[in-house]
Amino acid sequence: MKPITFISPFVITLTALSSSAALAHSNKDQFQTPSTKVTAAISATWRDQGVAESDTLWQIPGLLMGGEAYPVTESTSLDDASISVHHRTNQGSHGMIQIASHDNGNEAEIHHAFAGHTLTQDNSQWRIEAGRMAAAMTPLNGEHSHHRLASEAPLIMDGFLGRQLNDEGIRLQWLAQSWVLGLESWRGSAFPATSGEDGGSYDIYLQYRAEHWQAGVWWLEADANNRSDSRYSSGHSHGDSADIVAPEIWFDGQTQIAGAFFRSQWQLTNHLQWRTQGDMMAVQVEGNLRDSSRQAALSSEYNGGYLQTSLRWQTHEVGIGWERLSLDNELVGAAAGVLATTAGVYTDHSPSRTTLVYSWQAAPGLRLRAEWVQDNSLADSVNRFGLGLVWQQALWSNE
Amino acid sequence: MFLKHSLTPLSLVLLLTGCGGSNTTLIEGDLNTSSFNWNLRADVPLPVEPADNPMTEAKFQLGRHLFYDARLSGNGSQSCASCHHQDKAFSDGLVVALGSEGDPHPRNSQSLVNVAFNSTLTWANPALLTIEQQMLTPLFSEDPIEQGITDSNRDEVLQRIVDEPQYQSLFTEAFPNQGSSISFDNIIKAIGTFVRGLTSFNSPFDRFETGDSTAMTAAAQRGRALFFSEALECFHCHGGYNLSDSTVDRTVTFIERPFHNTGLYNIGGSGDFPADNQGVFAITGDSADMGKFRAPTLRNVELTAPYMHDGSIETLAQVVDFYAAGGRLISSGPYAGDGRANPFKDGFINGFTLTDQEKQDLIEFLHSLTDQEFISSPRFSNPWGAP
Repeated sequence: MKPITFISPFVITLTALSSSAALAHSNKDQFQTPSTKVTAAISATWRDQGVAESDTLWQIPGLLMGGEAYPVTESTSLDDASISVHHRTNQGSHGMIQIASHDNGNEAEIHHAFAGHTLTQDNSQWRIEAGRMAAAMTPLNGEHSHHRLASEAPLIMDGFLGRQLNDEGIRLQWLAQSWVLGLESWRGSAFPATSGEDGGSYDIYLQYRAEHWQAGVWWLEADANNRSDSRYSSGHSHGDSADIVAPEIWFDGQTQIAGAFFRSQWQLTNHLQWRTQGDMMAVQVEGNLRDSSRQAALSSEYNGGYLQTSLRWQTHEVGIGWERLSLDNELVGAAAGVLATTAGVYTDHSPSRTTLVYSWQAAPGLRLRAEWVQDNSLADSVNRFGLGLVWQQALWSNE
Repeated sequence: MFLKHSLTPLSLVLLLTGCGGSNTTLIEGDLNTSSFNWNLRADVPLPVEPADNPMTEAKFQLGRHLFYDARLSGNGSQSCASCHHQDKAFSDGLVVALGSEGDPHPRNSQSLVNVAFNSTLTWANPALLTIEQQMLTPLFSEDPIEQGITDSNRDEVLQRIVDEPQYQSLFTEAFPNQGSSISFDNIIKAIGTFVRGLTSFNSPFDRFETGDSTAMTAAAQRGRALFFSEALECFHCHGGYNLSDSTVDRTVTFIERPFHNTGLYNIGGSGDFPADNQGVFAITGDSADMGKFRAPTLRNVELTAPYMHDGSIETLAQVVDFYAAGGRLISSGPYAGDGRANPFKDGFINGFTLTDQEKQDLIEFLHSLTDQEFISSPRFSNPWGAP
């Protein structure tokens, strides 16, 4: 296995910038006042066509996929819907329960259910959280469609993290002024890991928050044993079933992901705001790919980037996003060719996507958006248009 | 290492602007190495060649002569080809095979189609893994007698081969560097090579699968969809490129050797099969193996009637009816019993409902598995001329 070298010029740049950063608010400001809040959000979009037919399996060529990475489809679909209860005490404890849509809006599940406690020292805080929650190594991982300017999840999230790493685990954070250092350990029920023996994942991250920007770097290691594409029926379902069937392929091995992100938000004039965000991930996969009778060693190196910039004027916002993946797979063994084809990892295509979006905050809590997407994530390019509605509201609060 | 160039702002720009493409590298070892022309479909992996009997064209040609030579039997009346006719995809059209002295074999002669890919040989023997191993039975078995070579006539049979002038050069070419190469060991290796080389991948189904959308009729295409549907479940036992789940090739790591009880019998309701034909149970003695047989390839199945291990179903239409019923009910006689309720029946045999049109479509699909080139190829034909 190739070693991971974590230091990069990005980290050096980040460190240099931090010394002069003006702080908008310190991490200590959070979790000081007792409160309870109930919020709800819905995002729905009509699209003139999808990335895949609703009754077919969606797989970015070259990638083993899983988790919640379902394709956007033609016509109207629910991007996400959730209702959440947040509570915090004045003793530094907090918790959250969220019920959210799942499986492309077909099911609902408890998405978040966690509790935490914050200990404050002189100039820093220690925070521990445990339960079912989204990993915090990059803000992108916590976002749903109703959070995002555009409706669709970034390709790096769908391809590398199964849309969102949301799992049962424990998080320990050290917050000092503008710095956040976090360590998370996960049961492994979220892609790209598996739970149980030889499974599980953990990540570590370092983030810096300044007045107009924040940035961070992170590293994740996920172990999988007997992992198949959990989005669809495993292998086959007997009888008269219309279920989408994933190939009977299993992966055993390790995925390592190093990531970096930045967010910036600049007030150009009283009414004009410029926002930019970007995420990068570098992925290494080492393991074995097998079906019921064949096996081949899989060694992969993937890179993915996502960059979005937008201008917001009063209630109107116009943005553009670029995304691209480069995917290198090496399979070794007599079954390499057969398994590469069956598992869908044989590719010389670099998926990419460009998104233009206009968003209008029609009312507090109500946003309309129009999107045009040039989607080259599959071998055949698709242009699609979408009109969406986002509603999010605090239903009750004693803040 | 891999992150060194990956997580810099510059690399984000380079990535998004299209630098750094995608690629897949396959390192497959000697997957495609063979000195023999297997004449396979492009997407079919090469079969495994025994280390002690690698494929050569000279051995194949020698084996072809021996396969069709009736002198290779105790009484000089029966060759391998007596029970394996090329025009019937190397089956014989009989309910059960007949030996050189007229003894009926308890089982139906299997076709010899893509035998190189079989993970086990014959109908129901999990221990029979090579053609060379299997050939000892037809050549030397005594119950029933097939080709009837025994210790008492063994030298005589071999002398017939020695006396045939053509064999001198054929054996020398097939087994160079051996002084006296005419032996039963080499006879078995040569016939094994010929049988292993009987490959069939040029049916309308094959042409359709490799991109010729006009190769199969519309009815056959509809039948294909039915065949590979979860409603009918056919493909679970007769799937893959060889239309059998008992298939092995060079890409296979974990070899599967499945056997299935299809509910053909259930004598007395206890799950029994006729005493002389009880499948894998006869080898293992495990009651769970009662009535389990290998799912043969369906290639050229149109030509290999009658069907099942005992030839007890005459036509393809009746075979479809049998599976649609989820087994066979025998109302009277010594084999009376409801096969549909056989306690050892395979979980895939659940029955299904077809319209008359769908049944015809399914049969049309089975007909599309016929490889006319295979059954007429001079390469596989009798080198001694018509019998």
